[in-house]
Amino acid sequence: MEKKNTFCAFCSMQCDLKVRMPEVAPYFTEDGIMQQDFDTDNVNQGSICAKGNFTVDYINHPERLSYAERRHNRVTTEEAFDRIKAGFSRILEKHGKDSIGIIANGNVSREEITWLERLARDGFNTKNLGFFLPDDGMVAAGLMATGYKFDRPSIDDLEKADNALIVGDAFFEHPVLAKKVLQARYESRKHMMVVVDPYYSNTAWFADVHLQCFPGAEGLVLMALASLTIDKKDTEFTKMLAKLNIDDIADRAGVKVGDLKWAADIIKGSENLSIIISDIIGKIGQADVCAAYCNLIAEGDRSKRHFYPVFINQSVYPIASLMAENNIAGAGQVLDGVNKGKIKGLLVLGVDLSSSFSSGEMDKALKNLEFLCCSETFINDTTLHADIVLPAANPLEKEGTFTDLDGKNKIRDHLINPPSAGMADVDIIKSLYTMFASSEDMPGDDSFEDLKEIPKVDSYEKIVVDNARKLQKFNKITTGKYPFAFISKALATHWSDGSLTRKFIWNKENADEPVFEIHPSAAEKLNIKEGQKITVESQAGRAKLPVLFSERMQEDMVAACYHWSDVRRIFPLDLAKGTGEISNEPIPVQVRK
Amino acid sequence: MIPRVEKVNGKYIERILLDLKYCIGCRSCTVACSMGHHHQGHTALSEVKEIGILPLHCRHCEDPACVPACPVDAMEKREDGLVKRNNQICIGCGSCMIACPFGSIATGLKRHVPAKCDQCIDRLEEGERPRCVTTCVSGALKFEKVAMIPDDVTRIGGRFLGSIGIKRR
Repeated sequence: MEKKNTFCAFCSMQCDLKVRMPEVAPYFTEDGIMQQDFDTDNVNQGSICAKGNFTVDYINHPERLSYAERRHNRVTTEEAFDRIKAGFSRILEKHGKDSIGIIANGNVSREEITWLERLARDGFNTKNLGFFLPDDGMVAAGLMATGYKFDRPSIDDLEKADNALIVGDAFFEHPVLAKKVLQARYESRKHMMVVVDPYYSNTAWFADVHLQCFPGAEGLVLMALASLTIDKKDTEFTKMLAKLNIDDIADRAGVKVGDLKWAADIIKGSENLSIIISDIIGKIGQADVCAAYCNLIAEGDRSKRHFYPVFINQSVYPIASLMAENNIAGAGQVLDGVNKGKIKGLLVLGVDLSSSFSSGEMDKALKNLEFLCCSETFINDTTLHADIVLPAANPLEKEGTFTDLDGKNKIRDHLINPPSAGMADVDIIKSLYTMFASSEDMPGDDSFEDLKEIPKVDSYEKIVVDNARKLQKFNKITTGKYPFAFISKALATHWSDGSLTRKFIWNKENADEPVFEIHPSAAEKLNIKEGQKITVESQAGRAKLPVLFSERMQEDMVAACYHWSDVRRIFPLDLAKGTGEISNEPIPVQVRK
Repeated sequence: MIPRVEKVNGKYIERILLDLKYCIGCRSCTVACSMGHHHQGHTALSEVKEIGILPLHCRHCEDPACVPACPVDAMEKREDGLVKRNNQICIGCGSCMIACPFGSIATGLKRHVPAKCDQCIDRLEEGERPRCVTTCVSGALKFEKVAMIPDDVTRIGGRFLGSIGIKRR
């Protein structure tokens, strides 16, 4: 069996992995099906997290879509493209400019980003192009608000850090990071780890200082740390820090003043501090403010402090750079246009919108579209509304350029061919370009340069500064009617909306339904027994699910994994500008039997 | 103290160990195990109350209780010291999992047989380490010669705890 090198397609860590390739299709041999192997020497040093272990399973999955479909019936690729041409042409003639929208996922290659921009501009005559960045949109907004430079040590050098400041459950969400951080921790007796998280997470297990604040107050804690560690206070973000009263902030955020000052001393005394933020499905309250202040703390002493935002989507950096140029509307505006009926035709590449926005409003909006075309690897809730579904290629079945966490380009080679009529997204986009663009010559592919920085965007700076100002007045989010704070939490084996991950047998067996986690003493007060179904209701919606006791929670907290649409129903359908992320801040809820 | 068996037929024995100091509870090991054994995960999971979910590997005992317990002789103690089950013979009666004093053989039946760690014999034969050890993202799972395990670590069955205890609840 031949072994081929590639890298994982499921998050921005882009861990190297090896795939054992049988020599003949369809990848069944006497040794079994195509298998994933390990032992590489990149950042992951041969390790692959639970998500990455599914990479090959995804290729061989029996439910894989391998033919084009028109309203649930198989059609040829030629017929599918004829109908796409007819559908979008009709809309362009009838409604003109900006009547078509494009939504793509956050794992697109740089070639796909370039061709999508061309297709939107030259083919569809629209600015309505958006890249959906579930989980990462808010952190990306924080980076765009402050500007981010890649002139820091590589993520490979995390093990050389003498101290670490971690916001969120970084170890559980990006387990490969853990090896580097823990190596640093156990190699030096002086190594200190500060974790900011309202939940007693798998990362907080290892913390020397766990700033376990109230849900939603993480931004306020970061502001306090910035106030104590940044000397120069001359920008919009830092000016407001001068007036902060640390005692008052500690009280309102629910942390001890001593712990805050201890954490600030660790930051100030560090020779090589790594600051890490990881925010899967919005567990962190006001993640844009958190990211902005993490960046500013690092910029306070660039030689000694280094900021590493880690994302679940691979292409956040190139997408953020593109959005900074302001040539595209962004996913927020596109989804808003779809909801309000301004956009009549939609091209969706690898996003399950119906599962991501489970309030029913998105379903209604998708039904009202005049033409919907999806490119997907599996049938999902969104493709049920589609006029045409094209079978997409798996990441290992296509080639592309991706930007890693250090801003450097990495090329993934094509390993195997997609099944039957499967097509790489870039080929689909190029075919559409030739159909709709008036120019007869196809432009060549751009050669991509490594990223040096994410430029600061004034509009994002204004939004995040406003959010930071509002956060200064933060008080506990719970109210008399809604006495619990609800936070979303991650499940290591799931990502994005979870409609894909739940297809894998192991995942299905281990987490076949979502549960609410509450503190045992809160359950005792409400007379709730473990395993019993409880209703959690917010102003936006409610869900009824079994309950699991967990002492990791604070007493007035409820948590559930956000990768199920049942849980998403609790959050309001409030889209963040630009990144299109659903607002998944911690929210006040009531709990009843 | 029971003396360690360090060699079998002149070869050093290697076993999978969990260093709790590093385990982050991410479950990568169990997924890799399941993926490598055609969706039949062989690593049992132990749910240790107030600690978390930890992988529970077969100890491949010197005098295994599961081997004589098997009514159809599907369990075999190999020459290299590994305890292997022949899935073609196994009738799925569950005697081995009842006999195992460590609970290392999973209670659930998959494809009519209980899951049992084989230390990834296919990979060992290629000179590689078991899947769970290779994939472990934090370096908590180690594949070490029994002779090399230092005496000053506190050993609890197949796990060993470092000198720095991690407070978990």
